[in-house]
Amino acid sequence: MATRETTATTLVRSRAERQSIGHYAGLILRYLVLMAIALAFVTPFILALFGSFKTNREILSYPPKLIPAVWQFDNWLRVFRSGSTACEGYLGDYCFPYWLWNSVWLAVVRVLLRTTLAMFAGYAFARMRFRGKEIIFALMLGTMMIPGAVTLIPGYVLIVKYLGWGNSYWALIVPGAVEVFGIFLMTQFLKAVPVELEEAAFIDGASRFTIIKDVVVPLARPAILTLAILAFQASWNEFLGPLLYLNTQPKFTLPVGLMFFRQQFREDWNLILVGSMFNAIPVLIIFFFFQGYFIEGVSYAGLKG
Amino acid sequence: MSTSEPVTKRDQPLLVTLTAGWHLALSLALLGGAAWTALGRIETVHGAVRWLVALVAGALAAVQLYFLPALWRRHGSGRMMSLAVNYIGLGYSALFMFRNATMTAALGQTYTAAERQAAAAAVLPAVVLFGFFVWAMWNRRTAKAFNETIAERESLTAYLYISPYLFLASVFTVTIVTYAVWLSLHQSAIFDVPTFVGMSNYVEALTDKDFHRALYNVSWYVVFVVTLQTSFAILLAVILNARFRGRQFFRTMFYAPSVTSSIVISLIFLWLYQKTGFLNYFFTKIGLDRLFLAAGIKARPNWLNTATGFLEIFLKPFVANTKALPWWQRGPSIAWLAIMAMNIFTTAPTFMIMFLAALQDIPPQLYEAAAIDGASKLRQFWSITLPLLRPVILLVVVLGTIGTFQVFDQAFIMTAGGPLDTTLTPVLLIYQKVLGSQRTARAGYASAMAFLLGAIIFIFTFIQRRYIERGTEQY
Repeated sequence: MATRETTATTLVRSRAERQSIGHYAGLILRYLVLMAIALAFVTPFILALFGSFKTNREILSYPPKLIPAVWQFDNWLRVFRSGSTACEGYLGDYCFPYWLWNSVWLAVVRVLLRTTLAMFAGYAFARMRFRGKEIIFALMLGTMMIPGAVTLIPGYVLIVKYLGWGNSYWALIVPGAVEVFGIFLMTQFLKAVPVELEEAAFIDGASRFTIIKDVVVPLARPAILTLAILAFQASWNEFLGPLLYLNTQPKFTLPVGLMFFRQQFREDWNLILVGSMFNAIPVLIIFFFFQGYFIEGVSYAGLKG
Repeated sequence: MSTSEPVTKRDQPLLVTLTAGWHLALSLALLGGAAWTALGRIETVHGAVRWLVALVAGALAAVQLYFLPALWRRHGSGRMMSLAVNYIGLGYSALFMFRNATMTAALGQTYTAAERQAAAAAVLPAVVLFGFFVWAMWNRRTAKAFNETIAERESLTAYLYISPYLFLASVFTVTIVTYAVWLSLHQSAIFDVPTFVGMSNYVEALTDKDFHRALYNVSWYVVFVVTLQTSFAILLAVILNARFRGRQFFRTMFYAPSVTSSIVISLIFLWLYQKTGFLNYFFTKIGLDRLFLAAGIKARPNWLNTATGFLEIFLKPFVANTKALPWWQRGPSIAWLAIMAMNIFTTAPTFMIMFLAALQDIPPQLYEAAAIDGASKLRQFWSITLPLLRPVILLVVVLGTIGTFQVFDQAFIMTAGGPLDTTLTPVLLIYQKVLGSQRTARAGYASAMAFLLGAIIFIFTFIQRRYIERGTEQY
């Protein structure tokens, strides 16, 4: 991201001033402060990562050591063969692999649904003329102001009692298939994209669906990727929804499974930390590779005001 | 059919006649269904849902009947309405079919696969019929028969694209909010038939000591977390908003805690906050343990199990026995402060990104002019940066308030409301009331508490808006 940092200020400052000792001292101070803050933010993860390679005796001893005395790489495999055996199927008798798999496929399904539906709705709001558009758009943004706590229990009762989706993934997939923020982001993005290309395609006789497929989707790729990444993060990290709706161990997603793990292994901190790493690392990897899109998404949230 | 001749009843296209007939039949069926539901003849649908279903069915029938003449005369409005009704019908029958095929248990019953299939198949005719009429209305021949304009076609396509949102919002947002209002006025376990109790749930919530406790705790949480996370976010953004090597690297490092799930962060901190954890080790190393002893807590406390209040520490020199103080004079407990610290740690970077984006929109000329006038960096920050960030500060404070009032994950995982209820939060209480154990499941009471919480959130954000926005106008 290019900064519009003051080019003129640099001119105003004299050359001598920039090369003075004070300048370098300031620079060093700045980096020291930055390093200290960065360290504070990253330390918990590093401690947890190292902790996941320790024996349990070592992890509970005081004073704690940063580096494991003997690296227990086995911990990372042991987690797949530990804990509850309430599950059965092609992934073995232990529950951990099922939790991981459930989280993965659920995230994929939800990302696909959310992005596709948000894309079409966003296109309609940004490009098409229809009666009631402004009202629907305003009402839609208005629903974002309803606190989740208000709809939590009534939603649970309605979905479990009247839709019969207790202990079922549908309770997570269907209500979360469209997300207002996604539609909003898509609309704003498309409004900023010039319409000429689409008009040219229209004149060439392309149908609306073809235009969306061949012109809009490639144009809106940054927004679609941003949406997909945010949707993945939301689904992968979600805790309260799966906690409410999924009640049996084979159906748990990883976050709920981890909580169960913690209850089961009160003191086996190394295994709990390995489990946590399985939840943290995929999101962190995606974040490192696509961080521009994460940041784009959060900055867009700022535009609402 | 030649288009040049005036339209008379005799050469009414077959599709138009069919559509009109279908709508007449449909509206009559809907009226019957509405009456049947309103009379309470359907056992499984009761209470608010019963009236809601009757109302929606009745309204749909009325709208259809109203537009029937327009449909017959092939007016655009009639055609639009008929398509809309068919969409809605298709959506609802698809939902019912889907629900029947996927429902695992309802009203205390569990269903076998065969039962589910049979129930789903029962709705199939409706889906097929609605589907056929949507298709018939969409095809170009009907469009021609109804003299469809390009604008109408565009409208229809647009509605088709937003129909998933409209449909899901009508089922899951509008219905649930309506149901929430109704539920809060009833005494209800999840699978029982609810009984009307009026405002007594609200009265009970207002006099419930646990609820007071939860609101007290969460108020401290909101004040501390929102203030500190906003300040830290601005600070971090200002530090990062300069041109230097490795800026991107630092931004990545700062932001990493924000992308991780609350459960992972909670588990890691649960471990760090232990008696033998790294945090105590660090504090002992830098000599803070003596300070903790002086404050009346242990040198190496188990942070999440320390119920000592924040105010208690300061009142110690003045009050003989701080343990005898009532709970509302003790302030947030150490355990609660530990959770607050963790939350600030994870959310400050998220908001930092918002501030960073806003900082880049501040024209550099302002700073240049100020520098020429001899304003110091600090002065520039107070007189230029902060005032121009005001809209974003408002947004961050409002978003922060809405989020922190509803804190759940952290309190649920790390302390489950303890020690001594000092980390009990309203959403945790709401959750416990319904799912703590099925016997005491009190969905109506929980809804009433949720509404009170929602009202408090609304009032707070409203005041913030007024207060911060009033200042914005000057600039």
